[in-house]
Amino acid sequence: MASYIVRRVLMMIPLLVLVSGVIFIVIQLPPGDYVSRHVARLEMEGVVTHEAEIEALKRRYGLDRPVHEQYLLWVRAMLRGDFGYSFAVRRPVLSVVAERLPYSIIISVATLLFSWVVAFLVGTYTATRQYSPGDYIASFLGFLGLATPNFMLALILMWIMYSVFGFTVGGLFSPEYQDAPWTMGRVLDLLKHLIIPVIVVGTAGTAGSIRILRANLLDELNKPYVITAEAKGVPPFRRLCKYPLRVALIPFTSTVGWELPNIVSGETITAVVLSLPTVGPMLLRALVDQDMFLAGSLILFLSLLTLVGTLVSDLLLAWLDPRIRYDR
Amino acid sequence: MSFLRSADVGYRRFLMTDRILDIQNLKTYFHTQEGVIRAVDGVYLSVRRRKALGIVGESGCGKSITSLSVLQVIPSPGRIVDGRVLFYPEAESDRPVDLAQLKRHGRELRRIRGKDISLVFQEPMVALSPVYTVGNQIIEALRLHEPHSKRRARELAVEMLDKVGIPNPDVMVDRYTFELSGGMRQRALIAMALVCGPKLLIADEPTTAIDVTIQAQILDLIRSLQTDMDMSVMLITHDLGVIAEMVDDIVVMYLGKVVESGSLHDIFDRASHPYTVALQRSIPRFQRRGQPLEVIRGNVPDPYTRPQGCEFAERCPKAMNRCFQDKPAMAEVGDRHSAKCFLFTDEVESAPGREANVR
Amino acid sequence: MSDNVRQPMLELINLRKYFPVKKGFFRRHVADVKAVDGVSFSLYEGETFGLVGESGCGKTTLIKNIVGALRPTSGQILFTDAGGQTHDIARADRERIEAIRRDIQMIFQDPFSSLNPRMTVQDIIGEPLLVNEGKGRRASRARVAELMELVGLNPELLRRYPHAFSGGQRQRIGIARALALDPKLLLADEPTSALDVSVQAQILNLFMRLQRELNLSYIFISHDLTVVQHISDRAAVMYVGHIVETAETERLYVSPKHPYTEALLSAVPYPHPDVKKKKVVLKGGAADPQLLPAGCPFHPRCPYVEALCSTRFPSLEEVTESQQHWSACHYADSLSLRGLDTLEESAGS
Ligand SMILES: Nc1ncnc2c1ncn2[C@@H]1O[C@H](COP(=O)(O)OP(=O)(O)OP(=O)(O)O)[C@@H](O)[C@H]1O
Ligand SMILES: Nc1ncnc2c1ncn2[C@@H]1O[C@H](COP(=O)(O)OP(=O)(O)OP(=O)(O)O)[C@@H](O)[C@H]1O
Ligand SMILES: [Mg+2]
Ligand SMILES: [Mg+2]
Repeated sequence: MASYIVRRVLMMIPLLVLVSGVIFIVIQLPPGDYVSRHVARLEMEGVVTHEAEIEALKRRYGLDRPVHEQYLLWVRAMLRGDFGYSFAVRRPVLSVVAERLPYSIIISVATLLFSWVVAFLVGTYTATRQYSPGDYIASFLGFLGLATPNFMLALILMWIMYSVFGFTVGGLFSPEYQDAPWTMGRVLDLLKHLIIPVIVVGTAGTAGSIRILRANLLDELNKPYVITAEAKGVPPFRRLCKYPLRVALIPFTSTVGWELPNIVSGETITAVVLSLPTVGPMLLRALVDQDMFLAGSLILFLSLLTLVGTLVSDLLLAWLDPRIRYDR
Repeated sequence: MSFLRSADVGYRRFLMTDRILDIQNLKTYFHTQEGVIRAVDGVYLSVRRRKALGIVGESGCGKSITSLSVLQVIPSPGRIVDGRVLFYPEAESDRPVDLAQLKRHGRELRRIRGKDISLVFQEPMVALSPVYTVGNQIIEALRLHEPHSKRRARELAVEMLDKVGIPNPDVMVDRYTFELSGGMRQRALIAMALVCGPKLLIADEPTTAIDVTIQAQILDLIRSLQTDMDMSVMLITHDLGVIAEMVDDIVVMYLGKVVESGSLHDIFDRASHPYTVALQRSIPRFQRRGQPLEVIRGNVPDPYTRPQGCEFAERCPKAMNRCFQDKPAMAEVGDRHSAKCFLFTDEVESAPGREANVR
Repeated sequence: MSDNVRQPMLELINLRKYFPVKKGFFRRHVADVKAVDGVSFSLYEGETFGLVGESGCGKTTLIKNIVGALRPTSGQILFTDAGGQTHDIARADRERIEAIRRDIQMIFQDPFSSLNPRMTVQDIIGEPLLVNEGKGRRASRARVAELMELVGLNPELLRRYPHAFSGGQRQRIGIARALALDPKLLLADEPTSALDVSVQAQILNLFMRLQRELNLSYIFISHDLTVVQHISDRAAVMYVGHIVETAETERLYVSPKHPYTEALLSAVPYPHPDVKKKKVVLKGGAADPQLLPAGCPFHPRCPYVEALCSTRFPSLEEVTESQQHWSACHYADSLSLRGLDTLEESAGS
């Protein structure tokens, strides 16, 4: 197992190289280099730029070198923490991202956990109580969740929260905590504000996961090895957990890898509706503005998140299923 | 008074009719959307203590479901709808436990499963979990019923694997099932069933995936446990050769019912029911290479509908008119030998519960 | 029967399949499981070749190589198709294998996991028709019904799912699926071990009838020596990756020339209680293909072992007194081994 983990982690290196290469190409795609574009934009706004200044900028980003050197420079800069300059916001990319990425990560991870826990509990319950009222209710809610667009759900929940609990939602903090230092109160406030985004972003994925787990578990429940376990006297709950559930979790777990990017993209619209300070809307704007350094960095961070997601799911899978550990 | 009773017990021992398991009018149905499948439809059979009972019959006639019903481990939506499964753990003079009455998920039944009665499941390829090692699953079976330390349990598991003929048992104990061939899995499964020293072993096709030399080894092992550990056996197999070597009594099933039962010699030398006769004729024999084998014409009828008369009538070479109208009763054709056929009786099958008890 | 001008439809030449055993962090290749280790034989059109041997001796691995599901480590698998073209399956590319697969079908050992539980019987049997001939459900229904009838299943059940069938019925579904594309060569891996004797008889008859009518060839694996004997023209006995004896079936059964064959034959239970055969009891457990002894792989368990056996590997040689009969025993010519006739005589039946 230990050697599998190390091998799997090492495997991420070539993947990272590949991803960064693709992103670099994306940054390079628009015609002209971004310094010239920046300069053009500045000139359009009536700002006078000096030849020397432009040259300095170009040198700084290595635009006078061949492409592969530019790539290496770009990577080296990133490794040093220099992600370039956002010409649209006129701030270093890192500071822009650092402001928002943590919230994105918090929402994504919270959503994932929420989605897992609910899907695990409901999926297991509905499979073991097939055709019971609870099963039907869960299925109905699941369909509803799959079919309702996220922004609609967000609006409905906002309205409910407001009219029933008298609780204004939107943003991640109440005004009094907006710029306050981190205290227990601020954390609680954050958690309170997380509820709606997590439900909104997670619902569709959760409903899907429930269906996957339920179907797989139903398949496994009548398998001969489960009957063998029952026939040797394993108590019901332990039997369920040790035998069919573990096998049914295998396909469920492998969805985690692609669940994360789904969450991030699903979050974008929700973030707009709920005015959340996350990277989704910012990425959108960066792409529209052709603010390529910012967009590239954001995509890079999101890819990294996905890679980590698949890593986690692969490690879980290897733990669940020895066949994977043994390369079969 | 007490003298008389013990003499009575002694006499029963002498007659060797002391039963360990007595199944009466067992009915296990599957209620599906398309209809009711009467997989087991009024089975009577008994296993004598320290003896082996063989169950033979066409595929789909309900042998496996009968054996799964004994421990109530029937796949859903199957359910026991009627009948009794009387288990006499020590002697027939004791009060029996009716296994069909115990709660499926209850503790009482769980204590019997794997300890007093253990089951070797038909499909060796899938009867062990793919995500645990063979040893893990055997040790679990052992420690559920006996308070061994993990180390001791492991030793016992290795010992058992060795007994069933698995090479390098101390290495194989840590293997997963996908690392084993079919025959190995089957042996591991048998080791798991035998590890607690059951009083009754129910073995559903225990040697189908095994080659003959290992089969001989395993059959030897089962036989020696039978005498050393006073084990009784219920053996389900298609292989009449194995039956001939292993069992004392035979029950022949057709469409969820027992159609003939008797001693080994009764069935091999004095087969009475036309189905039993046909069954024996269809075995390949060494001298008749390449020639077509005798087959029973027709197919098993679909499981939802049952013929009005005798279940076998449609395919029976000796069917008479009344065979298509009435169901025959079980008739005595010899000492402890009975067959369910109008060739031997005029009686019609009686209401459930009153059928002659096959002993 | 095998006249010399006839070209074999399938010829295996020194086929090897090793499974690497990898250990440690760098997955170093530390040893090999020699599942198939130098097997050669040929199969003629319309012939049945029986394969018997201990569990784990590599029978399934061998035929998986033939069907292209596993790539051999070395050796050749020459298959001659209907057009007279010869292909080496061992070196064929994916496309070629796909094409050859229409002609070579496999029937699996395990009817449980080889049938997709979410497909109806109609879809399972019709799948090869859909994949290879683009026939939809409607177009293939008649053919599927015909195939079901052929293997003894009630065609009315074609909308049911595999779980609602008993083990035996499931195996028949597998056979029907394999027959769907009219293959030339069927590789049957214990196709009847899950069937009861009466259905087994039907299936064996079916195999024989199809062979006559369609000129099919079979490689037939079974643990049941009586079945192999009944259906095969020639048979081979395998022991940990090697063929240790091969001959025309009758010759093999009546006068075996390898001690392992003798042991196998003696262990077959006879279907009558009065016949108690004297069994040759083999020492020790089954052989482990990862830890083969030096010399003859069978020598640790052989009742006739001599000094030479533990040092020199016996290759498969034609027995002098018996033609077309090959044995991998140093003493094949001198040992007098008991075959079936003598066994049954001594049983007095
Ligand atoms: N899970 C299930 N759902 C519905 N019907 C079932 C199920 N399992 C078994 N049956 C039906 O019950 C009947 C008896 O099946 P069983 O498995 O006992 O047959 P068997 O005698 O053991 O056959 P084989 O020799 O092939 O193993 C069959 O007709 C089968 O269709
Ligand atoms: N994928 C694999 N990786 C490693 N070893 C394997 C693999 N598949 C098979 N083996 C090993 O190769 C040997 C031959 O296996 P194979 O399944 O061919 O045996 P078999 O003769 O078909 O046995 P059985 O009669 O039990 O089905 C066995 O020792 C098995 O453990
Ligand atoms: Mg069965
Ligand atoms: Mg095999």
